[in-house]
Order: sequence, then structure tokens, then C-alpha cells
Amino acid sequence: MALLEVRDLKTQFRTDDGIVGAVDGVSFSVDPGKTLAIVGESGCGKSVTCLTILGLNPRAKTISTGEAIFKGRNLLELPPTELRKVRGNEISMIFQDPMTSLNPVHSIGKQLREAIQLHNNESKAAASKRALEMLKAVGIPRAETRLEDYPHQFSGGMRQRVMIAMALINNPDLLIADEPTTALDVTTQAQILKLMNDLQRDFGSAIIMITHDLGVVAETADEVLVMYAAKPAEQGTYSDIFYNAHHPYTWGLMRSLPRLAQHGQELRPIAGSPPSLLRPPPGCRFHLRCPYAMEVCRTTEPEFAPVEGTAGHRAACHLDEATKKREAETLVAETMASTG
Amino acid sequence: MRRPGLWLAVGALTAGIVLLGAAGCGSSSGGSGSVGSSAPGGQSNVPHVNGGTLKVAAHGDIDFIDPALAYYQTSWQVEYATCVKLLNYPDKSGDAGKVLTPEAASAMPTVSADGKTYTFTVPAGKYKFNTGEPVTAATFQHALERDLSPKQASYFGATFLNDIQGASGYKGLPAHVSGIKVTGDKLAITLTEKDAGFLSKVATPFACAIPKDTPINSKGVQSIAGAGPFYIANWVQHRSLVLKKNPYYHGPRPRYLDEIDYNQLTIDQNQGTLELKNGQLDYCPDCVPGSENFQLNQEFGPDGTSTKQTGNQRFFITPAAIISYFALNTARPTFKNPLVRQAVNWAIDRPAIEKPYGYGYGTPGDKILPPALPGSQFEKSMYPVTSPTSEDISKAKALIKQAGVKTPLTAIEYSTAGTPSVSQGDAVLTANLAKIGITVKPKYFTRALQFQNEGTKGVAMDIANEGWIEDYPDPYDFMNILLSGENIPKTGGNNFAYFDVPKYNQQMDHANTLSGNARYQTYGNIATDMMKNDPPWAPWLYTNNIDFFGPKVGCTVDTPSYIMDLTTMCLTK
Amino acid sequence: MVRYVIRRLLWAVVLFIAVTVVTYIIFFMIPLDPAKLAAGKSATPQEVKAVAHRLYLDRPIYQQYLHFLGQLVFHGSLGYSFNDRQSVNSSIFSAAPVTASLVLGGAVVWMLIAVPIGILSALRPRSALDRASMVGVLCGISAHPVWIGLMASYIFGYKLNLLPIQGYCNLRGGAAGQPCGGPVDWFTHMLMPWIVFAILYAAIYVRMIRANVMETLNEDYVRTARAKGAPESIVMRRHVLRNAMLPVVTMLGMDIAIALGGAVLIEEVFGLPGLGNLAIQSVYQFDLPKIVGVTVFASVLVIGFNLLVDLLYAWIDPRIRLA
Repeated sequence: MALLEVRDLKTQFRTDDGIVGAVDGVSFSVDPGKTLAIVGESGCGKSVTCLTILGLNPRAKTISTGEAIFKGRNLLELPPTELRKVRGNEISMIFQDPMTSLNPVHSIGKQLREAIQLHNNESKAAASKRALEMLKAVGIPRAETRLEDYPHQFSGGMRQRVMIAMALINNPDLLIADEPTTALDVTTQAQILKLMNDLQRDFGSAIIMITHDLGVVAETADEVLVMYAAKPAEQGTYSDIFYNAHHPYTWGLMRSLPRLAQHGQELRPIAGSPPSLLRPPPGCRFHLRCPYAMEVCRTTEPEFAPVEGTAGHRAACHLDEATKKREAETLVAETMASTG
Repeated sequence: MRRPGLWLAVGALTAGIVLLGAAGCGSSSGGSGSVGSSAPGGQSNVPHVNGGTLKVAAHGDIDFIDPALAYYQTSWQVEYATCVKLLNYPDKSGDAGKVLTPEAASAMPTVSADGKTYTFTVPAGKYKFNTGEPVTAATFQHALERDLSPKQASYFGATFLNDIQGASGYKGLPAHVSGIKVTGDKLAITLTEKDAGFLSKVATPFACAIPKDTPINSKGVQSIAGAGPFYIANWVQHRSLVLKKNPYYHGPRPRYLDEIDYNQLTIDQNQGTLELKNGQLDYCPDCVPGSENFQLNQEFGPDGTSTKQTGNQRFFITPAAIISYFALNTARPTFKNPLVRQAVNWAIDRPAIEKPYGYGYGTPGDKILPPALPGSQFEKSMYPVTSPTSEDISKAKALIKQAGVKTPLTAIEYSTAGTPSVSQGDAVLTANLAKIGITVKPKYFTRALQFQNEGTKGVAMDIANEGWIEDYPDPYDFMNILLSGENIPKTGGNNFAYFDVPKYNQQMDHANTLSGNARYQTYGNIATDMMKNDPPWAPWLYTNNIDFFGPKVGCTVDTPSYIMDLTTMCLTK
Repeated sequence: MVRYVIRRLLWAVVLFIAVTVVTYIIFFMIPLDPAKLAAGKSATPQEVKAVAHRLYLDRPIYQQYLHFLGQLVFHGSLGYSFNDRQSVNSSIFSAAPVTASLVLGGAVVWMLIAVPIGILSALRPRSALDRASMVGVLCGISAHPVWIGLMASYIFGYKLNLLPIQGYCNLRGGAAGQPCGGPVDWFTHMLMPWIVFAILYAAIYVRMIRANVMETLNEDYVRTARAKGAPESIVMRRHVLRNAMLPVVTMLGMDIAIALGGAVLIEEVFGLPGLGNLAIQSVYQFDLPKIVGVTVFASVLVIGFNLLVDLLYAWIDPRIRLA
């Protein structure tokens, strides 16, 4: 039984220029203790999807439809008081920039205690004890002395650990991590990802990992959802995506990764840039950048249909199965070759 | 006293004299005032009530309540209501108010044969302070000696009383001045030389009766008892002053009010006028800005719309003993020749120079002695007080030619900065004198700097744009002080024309020895002679006092020396 | 933190000396003979000399300054007025409470207006309230305080006779036969001045608070707080306002200091005998000790408040305190 079941989620924002469709029909599910990675370029709607689930979009400007069933309730229809009980308690979220995500004028001890006391009737002493445990769990050295320190006294990596501690302190069932390592250097990134993996194992929480970095996906994901221009492009298990990708965008993403063995060779980005979500192009949203684009792609939106012979693997592309399969295999061969 | 600058001028522009047109009541003031309709002078036929509190404010502040130091017009107005003096002026307007009458003294003093000793008889206890202490001859001895004590640093003592025998070299209280002697109830004052103006000096508030325990305090005492109809009950410097009825006063002066409250001693003029209009204030001696005169006169003047309805005139324009004049520096080439100075007096357009100051500001004139001053009636007017005609201008040009000087002549004028009306007036002067070949070059200074520079002997100045307010009603205060060659120190002088003609010096000295009408007549003649033949100045205006009262005030009397008399004021029904 | 405080204190002392030196030089270098001014209108030359000696005016200027400084630092005395002979200290200390009443009361009024309106405008941008408050701000900043004051005193004081047109009554007055005093009189006389004084500052602060709050609402840590499940009231109080109001607190300290130096315009219009009024009068009367005294006093206030504000800011913003 899925922990979180999202069906046909759509989110629109009212702006001065018109209505922007930030998320246009996304569906997925997350199982307990598993990790779903949502991948895509900036602006493709991956963050907004998760903000919508938790109701963190600006209420006045946002129109959301669809379902996000969590423990039998549709989060999109919950009254604010109920939703607040879920946030930080059953579903937690951490964000991209640890430098600005903590309040600079309160000590981290205070902010950790706040996370606890918002949802539990604990005394300050008990909350402090718990906060200290969490700090240790996320690997903050000399945690006792640092409990009453202020955010600016921590490095970026340390702050992200604190954020993780704060998110997990109430033992949530689901942790949503919005590009948690993007702002960190590579070694710190590796540490954080390892930490998250360990904690997932210890606490048993499911994770939604939002990222644009396929490397992160490779390290953490059980399931993957690739999004493009507010719509799902491809979805499947880790091996589906990496060994049997069925969408030109996914191929492009994988090819654009810099490889160690290709020293000196040019990078291969996907040409062009994402379309405007205010007035999206007709037909397949990717067709303007797709090297495989056909006439039908210009006029008809491809169905987000299951790949032949599977149930969980879906892709939205007009290309025939044979071409897709051939391309997937070529890609795998290239990857093997370059890492050899 | 010198014509002070903007700040002080506004505060001090109120030495009043004669109620324009209003009859001075000849009868002496009735002290017992029941609800009646006859009030001494001013507004007759105004029914009034006894008692009540008058709400007063002042724009120009009250400088001191210490009689040895107080000098502002507003301070003197208060002292006129709280002090008892050897001799005093009656609570009347017009000529009747200029006659010195005995107050604490039982009669006018007897004068010795050589004219240098004055003996007053002061019956003990005729007047009492609000503390119950009786006023005696020794009271006045103490007052005068305190004025003369160097530690008291009294300006008056230092300048006006220095002709009392023993005054120079006096070390101060508790020692006595040799020229002031008390025997029983007799007070004898001996001068070093004859000075017929002495009695006027002794009637200034500097010679008020003060309690015998009043200490020497060069900063000025902060509280003092009074023997007059009122006494000062409370004073917070710069903020408030309260006068209350003196329970021990049984003299003949009038008194209707119970209390006079000064709140806001530095009130803004516009706000003060508003408060007077709607009755939040009853009286303010200097609140009306010039721009309001015309309107207020229309409504509250003698023929005002409101006056006709209520019968209560609230706005008064009264000529004062204040003169505005252009001193012509006789020590420098431009105005050395008397004919040139006569020409100036023919050529200037007095009403035009007055115009920038606003409606009712003053009365154009060409005499040295303002009409409000005794002696002025004997001085003859001879130059145009209306705009000069073409004949007047021709006469002026002819005089210049006759003088044989090379035109154009240059005249550097020292004037006061920061007042638009002054500079506009200077522009008119410049235009007037350009017609007769004199080029005026005005230079502007702040008031204090202007005095200082003008009073420095040898200053490179030809015209001084000046003014003078009487210290006491006597021609000496205008003529000897301002025009005697004996009064030209190296710095700090007041004789801005640097006028030093031995003939006139002697005549003025002699006039000072006379008294009564002879005195005034002699001074008047000297002034006429000066202006006719050797004019040191081009006088152009006598300023008016402007008074505006709240709706409830009646019985107002404008006295020659102390402006509106507080003791006569009453509240109307 | 200790080093920070010490550095600030030393700097304040340096500023104080600089201000007094400059003031002293300016006023005593003007081409007017102070001894003559002190001695009075018709003093003889001997008297002027005696006064000059008594007032140290015949010594070299650096000696005069040192004497002045010594009097100030060791005796707390600012000298004696030329005009009314009273100690400048007493004039200043009787004027200071008036200005303090005006400024502190006015500050309360302007914060009472600015904080709610600023916050509400920020929370509902482009709403009717927001637009109305921005128009109000524009008017408040553009209309000259003197004009507003005169209009107010004309309408409410003169025409409607609701409040006194001008004047000041002591808070503790009513004693010993003074014409007015006591809390009620004090309040009715201060009401219009407070409101007029507050209008300009309220306008400025509404804009500032609105901008700060709007900016802070977009901060990441606010989003974090919401993600933790905090109700809006806690998000606003603990996270948004706690940060948004930081610069406001320090600005408030500075503005009060500057205004204490003399809310001159309001004092003139409403006849309040405060420091601004004192400064103007002393200039008209060319009363040098008072002019110097007011300048020094106002400068000390500004320097002192500056210091206080720096220390306060360090205390409430841990980023500075622990840097």
C-alpha cells in the first residue's frame, strides 16, 4: 500500500502576465521506506509538485487540482489546521540552500525545539535532549556545545545536516528533499547523501529526492520520475530509466553528463532551452528540442503510456518502440565504453 | 533704549502713548469698582465684572522680574502693576498720563537751593508689600543702593544713577552711598550736578520698592514681593508668570481683576492672534503680526464691524514714543555739509518707506521728538511728511548745488539684515536720493553686529538705519543721549550721526537743568533749530503700538510709559 | 563583544571632542565681540573689559576652549547666558523634558500607526488597504509638517475649539499657582503636536516596515518554518517580524536621537518651549553660550543614542554579537 499516492496533480499560478501552468498532470506513488527521485531542468515543475503536496504555495495566487492521498486523506483538500499537523510531523521537507533556510536570529537549539514543540507537548528540557540526540545522529561534532550556537556559526554542510536533523526529529513517514546537495561542494554532497541513506535505513522514512543531477539519482533512487515543462516525460524504476530509457529527453540528460574518460572532449548539452509555461508549445512540449521530432509531435500531445510489456514504466513519446529500444541499448553501450 | 532687532523689536514695540481719538477720562480711577459702566479712559460704557482671571501671553518674553535688571517693555508693563515708587504716572492715557505724581512720597520732593538735593517724605506703612512688610524711606534707599552695587551688575545703576554723589567708587551693599541719606521718614538724594531729568529716572521701575531682604543677585532674583496693586505670585522663566491681588494694597489705583496669568511667554504671533480672536487668550502685548493689522482694524477697530455690534473695541493703534530715523554721519565727507543733509530731508518719501511695513505700522514724521514725548509739541515740523512734490525735489537739488559738492555723492548705509520690510524701505531711500545725486550703498548686518559697527568711532558708514524707544518720557533721553557731542565714546556709542556741535552741546546741557514747561519748550526749540539748520538725521516715522484684545476684556487704558495698563483691565459681562 | 563595546565607546569620545571643538570655533570666530554682548547694551568700555576678563574672553582661544571643556566635563556646566544671565544648564534642562514629551510621545504614536499598517500592507499587497496606505504615505511625506500643524491647530484649535491652539503645560504642574499643569492639561496640549509630529515619521516607517516585511516573507527560513508546520501567527511573530523589525529598531533609535536635538518645526508651530525653540531664540538673541550649549547637548544626545543603538543592534542580532 503506497504511502503517498499522487494522481493527476495540476498547479497553476496567477501572474501579472497570465496563468502559468507550473505542473500539468503529474501522477506517482511513493512506498514506505523507498526513495523516489524527481528529475528535470530548472523550472520543470519538480519543486512545485512537492510544495503543492504540502500546501506551501502562496495561497492567493495558486490553483491546485488533483489528489495527493496520504494515509487515506487528500492533502490538497485538507483544511489548513489539519495540514499543519502533517507538515514537519508526518511529512517533512528540506530545501536547497542551507545558508538561508535557517532563521539567523534564533539558535539552532531553539529552532530544533520549535520543530518538536509544534507537534508535541514536550518540556524545553526534554525537547533539548531530543534535539541533542538528533544533532549527534546527523554527525555534528561536539554537539553539546553547539546546541545553542547560531546558524552563522556553522558551515554550509553542517547547516544542511541541521536541516536534516530538524526534518527527521519528529520521525516523519516521508521526507521531501528539494535539491539538498545542489549548493554544496562535491565531497560534502557525498557525505550528505550517505547520511540520508543511513538515516533512511535507521528511521524507515520514505524520501522524495528532487534533483537535476543524474548522479544523485543514481546513488539514491528506487523509482525515478523525469519531468519536462510541467509534464511527466518518463517514469519507472531505477533500472528502467538507466538501462531502458524510452524518452529522447532522458537520453539527452544521460548523454549530457560529463564523463571521466572523455577528457578533452566537448560536452553534449541538449540544444535549446525549456519552453515558456505561460504559453506552452502545441503538441509534445519537447518537440522543439528533440532530434527525433516528427510531424505528429508538433500537433498531438503524446500519451503518457506504459512501455510495452511493463506496468510501472511509462513514457510520453510518439516514437515507435523499436527505435526507442535501439537508442536505449546504444546509450548503455556508450556509457559502458566511456567508464571502461 | 536702542531700537532692538527683529526679535526684541517685536517684543518691545509697545511703549504706548495716546489713544488715537479716544477720550482720556479726566476723573481719577475709582478703586471700589462695582458693576458699572464708566471705566477710566479707553472703553467707556462697557459693563464689567469685578474679579476674574485674565489670560495673557507674550511673544517677546519677560527678561527679569528683578527691578534692578528688568528692561523689556513686557517686563516694565508687569512692574507698573506690581510696584510702588516714590513718584509714579497716573493710570491715564494722553497728556494726563505724563504728569509725575507722588505715590509712596507724600508730595513732590523739595529741592535744595543749588538744585542738587531732592528730599522726599515717605510715610512709613502707607504702602505694604504682599508679605505685610511696610514701605519706608529706607526701602527706597535700599533699592537705589542695590541698583548701584557693582555686584548686582545693573545696567540702569551703571548709567542712569551715576550722578548721585558717592555712586562712582561705591563698593556695594551693605555700605551706604554717601549721596543717599535717610532720616526718619525723610529720604534725601544729592547729585553731583543739576539734573532736572532726575525725577523721571526715579519713576522708572529700576527704582521700585523692594523688600529689605532682597539679596544681591547678578543673575536676577527669581521671586520678589510687590507693594503695588498686584504682586508676582509665581514666575517660571520663559514659561509662565502669575500676578495676584496684593491684599495689603489700599492705594488709589484701580484694580478689577483677581489674577493675571501669563502662560506661553514666547508665543508664536500667528497662533497668539488666533487665540485672541476666539477667546482662548485675553491679551497679548505683542502678538499681532503686521500683516493682520488691516483686517483686524476692519473688524475690531474703532469703526469695526464687530465693534459696532458689541460696542467693545478690541483693536487699538496708538502712536508710541518710538522713532525711526536715518542718522547722517557728520564726521565723513558726504554729509559734512548741513545743506546736503537738509536736501535729504526734502527728498525722502516718508510714506513710501513706511509702506513695506504694513498697515498701521506708524505715522510718518520729520521731528526729532516723537509726538508722544513731552516737548514734541514745541518742535516745529518743516519737511514734507507726505510724498515730496516736484517742488520739494527741486528745492533739494538746489540745496545740493548751493553746497558746492561734486555729485554723485556716495553714501554707505548700514542696515539690518533678515527683514524684508527694512530692505524694501532701503530700496525706496536709494531711489529717492538717487534723484538728487546721492548714491546709496546699503550694507546688511545682524542687529547686534549693526549696533557694534555703527557705534565704533571712525566707522566707514554714512547713513545708519536706526530707531530708538524712550527709556522714560523726557527729551533728554532722545537729545542728549543721541545727539550730544559729549556722548561719543570710542566704541559702543549711540550718537550715530557723530553729531558734535559745541553750540548745541551747551544748549542741551543747559536745557537739562530746567524743569517743567520751560524744559520742554527749550528742548523743543533746540530740536527745531537743529532740524532747520543743521539736521543730524532724516527722521521718517513714529511707530505705533498695536494692541488686540480677546472678546472679554474691557476698561483698557493705554498709558504713555507703560503701554496697556494691567491694573485698569477688567473682564466684561 | 567586549572589544566591540570598547571600540564604540572610544569612538564616541572622539566624536564628542570633535563636535565641541568645531562648535566652539564656529561661534567664537564670528565677527562679534562676545564680551560686548555679555556686558549689555550701553556698557562702558571698562565694563566690557571687566566682563571679558570674567568670561575668559581675553585669553587665547585654545585656553578658552580648554576652560569650556573643563567646565563641561568636570562640572557639567555649559556656562551662563548673556541675555538672561541664567545658567545654560537650567535652560536646557527645562526645555529638554518638553522636547522629550513631544518626541517620545510622538514616537509611540507613529509606531502605533506605522507597525500595524505596514505589516497589513505587506501581507496584502495591492489590496485596497495597501493602496490606500501608500497614498497616505505619499501625502504624509509630501505635506510639510508646518503646514499640517498650522492647519490642525487652525481647524481643531481655533475653529472647533476642541484643543488648545498651542502652548505647553507641565506634566507635574499645577503647583504653586502656575496657570496650567497636570496630566490632563499636558495631554490635551500635546495631542495635536504628537499627531502632527508623527505623521511624517509614520509615513516613512510604514514604507520601510512594509518593504522589510515583504522582503522577509520571501526568505527561505520563513518557508522552512511553514514546512515545519508552524501556524501563521508563530511564523509572523517568531520568524518574519523578528527579522523584519531589526532594522526598524535601529532606525527608531537614530530618529529619536535626531528628533530630540530639536523637533524645531513642531515646537515653533505649537509654541512648545523645547530645545528647538531654545535654539532658535538663542540665535535671534545672539546668546552665544546658549547656542553653544544647545549644540553641544544635541550632539551629545545624538552621539549617545548612536552608541546605544549600535550596542542594541549587537545584542539583538547574534550575527554581529558573535562575529
